[in-house]
Amino acid sequence: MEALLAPFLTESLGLLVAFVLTLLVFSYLLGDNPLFRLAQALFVGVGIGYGIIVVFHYVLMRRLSLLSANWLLTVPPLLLGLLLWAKLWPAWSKVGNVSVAFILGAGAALAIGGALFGTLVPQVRATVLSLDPADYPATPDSNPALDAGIIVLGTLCTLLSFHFRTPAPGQRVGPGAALIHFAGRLGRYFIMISFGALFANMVMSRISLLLGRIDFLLDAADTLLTWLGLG
Amino acid sequence: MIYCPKCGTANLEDSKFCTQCGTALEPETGRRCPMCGALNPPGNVFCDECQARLVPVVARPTGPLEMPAPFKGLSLPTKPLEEPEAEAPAPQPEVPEPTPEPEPAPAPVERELAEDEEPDWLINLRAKYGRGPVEAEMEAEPAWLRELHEPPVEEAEQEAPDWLSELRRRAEEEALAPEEEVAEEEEVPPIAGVTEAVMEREEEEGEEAPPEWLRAIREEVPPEEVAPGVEAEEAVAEEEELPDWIRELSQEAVEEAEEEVAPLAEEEEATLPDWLAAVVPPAEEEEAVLEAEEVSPPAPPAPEVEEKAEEEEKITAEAGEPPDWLQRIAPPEEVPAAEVPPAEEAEAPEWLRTITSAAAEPPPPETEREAPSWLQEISAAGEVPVFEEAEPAAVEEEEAMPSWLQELAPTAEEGPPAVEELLGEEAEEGAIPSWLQEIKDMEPPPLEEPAALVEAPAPPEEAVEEEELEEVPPFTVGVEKLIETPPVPEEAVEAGVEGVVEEELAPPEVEGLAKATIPAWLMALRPAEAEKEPAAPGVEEEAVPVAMETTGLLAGIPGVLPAEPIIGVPHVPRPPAEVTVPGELALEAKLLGEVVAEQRPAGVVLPRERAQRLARQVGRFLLYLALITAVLLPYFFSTGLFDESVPPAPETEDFYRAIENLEPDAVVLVAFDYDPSLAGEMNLQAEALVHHLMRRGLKVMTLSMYPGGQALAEQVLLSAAGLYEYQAGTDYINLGYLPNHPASLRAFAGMNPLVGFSYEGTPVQETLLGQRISSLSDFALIVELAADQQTLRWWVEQVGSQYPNLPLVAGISAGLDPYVRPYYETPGRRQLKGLLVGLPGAAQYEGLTGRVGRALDNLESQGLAHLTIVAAIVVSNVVYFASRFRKGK
Repeated sequence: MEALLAPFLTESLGLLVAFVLTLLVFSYLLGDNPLFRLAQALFVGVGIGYGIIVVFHYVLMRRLSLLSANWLLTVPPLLLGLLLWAKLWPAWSKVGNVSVAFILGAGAALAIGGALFGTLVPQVRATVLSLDPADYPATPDSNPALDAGIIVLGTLCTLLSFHFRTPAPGQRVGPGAALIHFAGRLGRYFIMISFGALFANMVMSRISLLLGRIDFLLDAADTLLTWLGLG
Repeated sequence: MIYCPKCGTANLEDSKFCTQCGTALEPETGRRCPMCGALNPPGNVFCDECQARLVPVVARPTGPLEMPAPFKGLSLPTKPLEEPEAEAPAPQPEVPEPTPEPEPAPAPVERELAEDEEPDWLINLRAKYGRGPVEAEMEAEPAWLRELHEPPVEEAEQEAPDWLSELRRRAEEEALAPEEEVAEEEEVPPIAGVTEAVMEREEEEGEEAPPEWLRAIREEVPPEEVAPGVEAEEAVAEEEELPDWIRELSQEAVEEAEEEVAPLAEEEEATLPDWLAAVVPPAEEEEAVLEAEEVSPPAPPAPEVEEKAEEEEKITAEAGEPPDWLQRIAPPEEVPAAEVPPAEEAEAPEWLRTITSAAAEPPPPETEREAPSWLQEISAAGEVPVFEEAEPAAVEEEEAMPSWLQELAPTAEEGPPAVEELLGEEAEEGAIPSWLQEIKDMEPPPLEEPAALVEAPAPPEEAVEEEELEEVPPFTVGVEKLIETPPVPEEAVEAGVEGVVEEELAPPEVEGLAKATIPAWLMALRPAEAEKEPAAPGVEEEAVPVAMETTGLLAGIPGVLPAEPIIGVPHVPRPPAEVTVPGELALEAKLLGEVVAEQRPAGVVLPRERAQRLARQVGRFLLYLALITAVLLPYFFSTGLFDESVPPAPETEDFYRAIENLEPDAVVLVAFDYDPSLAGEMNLQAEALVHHLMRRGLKVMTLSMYPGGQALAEQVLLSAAGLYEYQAGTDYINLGYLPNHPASLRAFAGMNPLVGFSYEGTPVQETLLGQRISSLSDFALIVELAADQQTLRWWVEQVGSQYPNLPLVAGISAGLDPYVRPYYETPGRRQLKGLLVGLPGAAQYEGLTGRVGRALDNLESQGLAHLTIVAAIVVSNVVYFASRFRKGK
């Protein structure tokens, strides 16, 4: 009996629970129902519980064990961490502001510095492209110069699409304003294409997830049938 | 700091009296804007807030200034040079001439200053009239008493010089009596010069600080003795010094007042004149005044009062009685002030009793009744100083209102209640405000008063309108002295002043000053409360407490700015106007409201609605069915539409090449930055990647910034390690969880040597693989498997920018492709060396590695699902446009 239950408890029971919960989630296709809500509540609860366990065991305990060798290095982070508990009491909540300020300050500094030198500068530089085909190697399948031209044109037109201007009634629109207006309209098409690509990629991603769940269900059903001797 | 005008002692800003000599310090005065109520500096002509004019516009005389004024009655207290003996200072026989006391020598500096500022003609005049002793005594007056004399002069200069200009212009027109021409020429220059000086002073006031003569008054420069020999041109030229005679006039007014009040003083108080007693009222009376008007005159110390009384007695002795010519034209009936009812006497101070006595007098002769009260008041020389000294009294300050202020004057109930009570006036005075009624009742002087002064300004009408009475400027008090001395024929005086009064009392005729009117659009914006009772100001005003201005130009004038209490009360929004709706519309609206309010009973579903709902459900079910069919179909048989020979994308090839180019036994760091919710997509890439790495013999270290990611990494590693005989700690290490924050990633990147524990709890430095890594640069490649844009950006920004030579490739969810691709498309130095995008990328990668995994198995299902979605989109659009085309027909 134990030999029969051991693999079931270790593998098949978990597989069965996952299988059932997956079906409960899919029941949402028929509309909101208590089964879906049960699966939803279980997911939230298990996810939070698992996160707390991971943080406690894999972060707190391990970091403390690492820092115990040099306890002086343990004091500042521990102190800041303890101050955060003061946030639980409104009368002492201001004490916790020190830790919050440290976290926010360090995070903001890292985020701003990284965004500036990791994203902003390189990406702005990436839009400064040469439109001379001679600067690009000749490839039979693609035209880098054309790609560069599209990138430059799309960037400028997209920026101009955010130039909102409406001539007054009866006002004659000059050639410059007309060009800006045309570029803005063209930029909107670039934006629409970008949004279409985002949507299509998101659909592709969710179809992949559906396939993964279907794979799981098929594998789980096969395993369960095999365990039950029906497969 | 406020410096005492008498002794020069520096006092604090808020001091009211000098700490050394007790002199009353002039408070900082300002000009209250009649439009917005803002307090402006004294020198302002226009309001700082609303640019409203603070100083009335003065009409500049059109005629030459040298034109002689024909009316002597209103001219300077000079007399023609031809008859110096006859017109001379009119000694008073009844009053013994006081022994001329040596004039107390003032400070040398003051003396020089006064001599410099006064014109010669004025000095001569003073000498001729023998004012020296009197002035000397006036100088000896305490500061507070002199201040009481001086303000009217300032007010006269500031507020209503226009009537003086009118007087001058009228005088020019009335230049007729040939026999008096010579005398007039002698007399007019002063008045012409004075009027011009006043006018110009008025024009310049707004732009300049108080003029020198005014400062001189404030500094209490003692008047100089008058020297004979005055030239008209000098008077015109020395405009700055001309107002001194006005100050002298005020002093003369004091003299006249003493003359008139002397009997009363003898009756009631042996030593203290009546008006002086009024100025220094007893404590109880002063409190009453304070309660009634909230304005109190500076109470001088008791010893000083006694000194003043003695001095005033001297002045009275000097002044004596008016000359014979004045007595001849004096009013026939004069009622002494002592006839004031006892009840009023008991309640009111002396100075108010004087006023009430004037009001209680029987109607004067015709000339007196016809004359405007302000001119009657001029004749009532004895009361002038009383009014001036009774500074807090609203009567005087309301008299000082120019015409433009009188337009803003309150209605009957807005008068100062205290004055009303003291005067015993009844509320049923009609539409005339009490304060105005008080002025009206200010009948001719009670005592010996030069009749010429009373008769001279009398207009031809029987009675003067109250509005005209309001026009009286206060500085006429000072001019009265100008009128009384020269003996002028009554006819000429009447003719000269008559028209002047008429013209002066007509505000619209003043050049450059139009009557203010409220525009229609502003009237439309009036609050609803104001529109409700626009025609009953008397009733409405009672509800609103009348506020009296205590500072500025409008000090003592109640109700000039009545908006303040209204503003102080929170405005109640006007209720929406009732809209009359036609009967049909009202019925339709009622029906619509009933229909909208009516709710469908539960369970009642219209057939058409049911059909539409069913159609939507069927359509959705068909779409689901088609999608599930497309996904499941490849599991049972292959369609052959998406075989394994799909050409890989360039980014996939770069990804693959980045791994293929690594040296064997190199250490690759793989970050599983996704959670189980996206494992269906990302695990395909992870499995293909780990199999590729292990197949090539590369060492693998994994970590995750998601709590569930470390478990997924462990699962993938275990599933591949068995195939390639990889040993944990030696060939691969799962570093576990890294807190999801850029700071933790930055700390991990800077960790030197690499410390921590494996997923199993083994210290990294105790493993063989862990000992090979002393810093992040010891990794040959970093692979970021990201289902979140944020974590990939952190890797690029925090690690990629710090280790630019450390190659970084990424496998991402398909939804991140538009966000992440720019890092791969960066020309020159790519921030991402390779990229796997979703399931297609994983499938292409598997195709490159030669290992058929789940990605390739699912690729057909993925393709069919895409085809189904595209077909659904196309069909939906066709149906949509077809329906539109059908509706268009």
